[in-house]
Amino acid sequence: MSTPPPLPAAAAPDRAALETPADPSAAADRLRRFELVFLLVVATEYWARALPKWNDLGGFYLGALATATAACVLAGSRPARRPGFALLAATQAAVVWQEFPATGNHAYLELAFCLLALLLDPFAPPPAGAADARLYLRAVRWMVCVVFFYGGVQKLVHGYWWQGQYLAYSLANESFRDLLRFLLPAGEVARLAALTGRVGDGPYLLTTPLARLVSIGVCVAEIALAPLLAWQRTRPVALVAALLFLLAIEIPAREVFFGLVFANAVLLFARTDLHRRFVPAVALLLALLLLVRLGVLPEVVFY
Amino acid sequence: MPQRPQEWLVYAGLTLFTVWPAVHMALVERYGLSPWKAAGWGMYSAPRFAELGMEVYGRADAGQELEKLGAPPPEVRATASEFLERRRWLGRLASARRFADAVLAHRPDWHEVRVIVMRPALDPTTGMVVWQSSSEEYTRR
Repeated sequence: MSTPPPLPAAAAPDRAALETPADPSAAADRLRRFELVFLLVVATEYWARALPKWNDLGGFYLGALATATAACVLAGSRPARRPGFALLAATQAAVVWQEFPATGNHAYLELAFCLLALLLDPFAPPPAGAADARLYLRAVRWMVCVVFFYGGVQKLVHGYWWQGQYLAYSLANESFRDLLRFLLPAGEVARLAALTGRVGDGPYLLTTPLARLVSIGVCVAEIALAPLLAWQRTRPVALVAALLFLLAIEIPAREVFFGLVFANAVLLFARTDLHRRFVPAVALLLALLLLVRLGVLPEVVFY
Repeated sequence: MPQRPQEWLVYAGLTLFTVWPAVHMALVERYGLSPWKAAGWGMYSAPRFAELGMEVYGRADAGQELEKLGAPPPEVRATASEFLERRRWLGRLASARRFADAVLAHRPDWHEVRVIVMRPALDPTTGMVVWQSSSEEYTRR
């Protein structure tokens, strides 16, 4: 009995798919910036939610706001990093519990990142620090793949994307309408935009083959992003595609905080340290959002 | 292989993170849980509707005609709002038991209560918005 010939190197599974940069200190630096962005987003999110209803804030949310702010400051400092993340995880868990079942999915993702940061210390001396950095990077990347994969699978399974039903329904939202306008004839856009979503309304179906293809393509692309991000060869293209995909969804949906938390994680797939540029950009954006909430800048809707 | 306890915890957490959305999809299918919530990553997979309606009937015993509940007091209304909000996201996983108990406390002459919850849904085949209703019955404890 003959044994099959070994696979050529090019066809062998890419074992380095979820590996960290070779230099442990470089990995730790990236993770430090990843955590900084994460903490800035979470702290701003608490304040951005609190400011519009400052006079009516309940005791629970005031407590959560104070604790989360203190926790973010602690977690951002080297000596108190772990107690900070422990406090932030506890606060986040309390908020998830308090808002359940209406809790937004980004709150769960933030809680998962807090727990990961609490359990692992990529800044500890080697070898434990290097091992933690490797596992930390792999874990965040894995979570990104899981979110993309199931995001696409759920869209296909529930059946609202096969004939563009969800996209047709979302045309009621003006910002989605601008994005979808180019896919449909003007009459079709007008018909769908005139529907009010009440019982008896419809049909919410996209009629052109191109629009249906785009609808299914969105789901397939989302699913495909998971393996394409994991495989090192396709990772650069997948990274760009993932960021564009995020922008296409989060800009019309105006889910700034989920978008930033998730983009922050997606950027950990980059070969180079993109977080170096991401930190000041995010800090500026968050400052602008807070100025909007304070009424200094004109009102903009964001979540 | 994980060696330290925290590594085990991370792997256990990642396993949960990976398996849960599959369970979540099954719960959506079976109990009408909202795909938008509970960390199943099903945001934008189905339309959301704000509207939600409820009708409540009751009777003293099984042989009698069902009587519709009219003008309930504020405490029953508050329990109804709380139940409907949970039902909106949790589907049939949100039990109406507490609400039914509040109704039965308000109507001591009733022995059983029927709660009918109606909510709009998009029929994926026709693309039309339709009412979906579910009915549950509770007896006095």
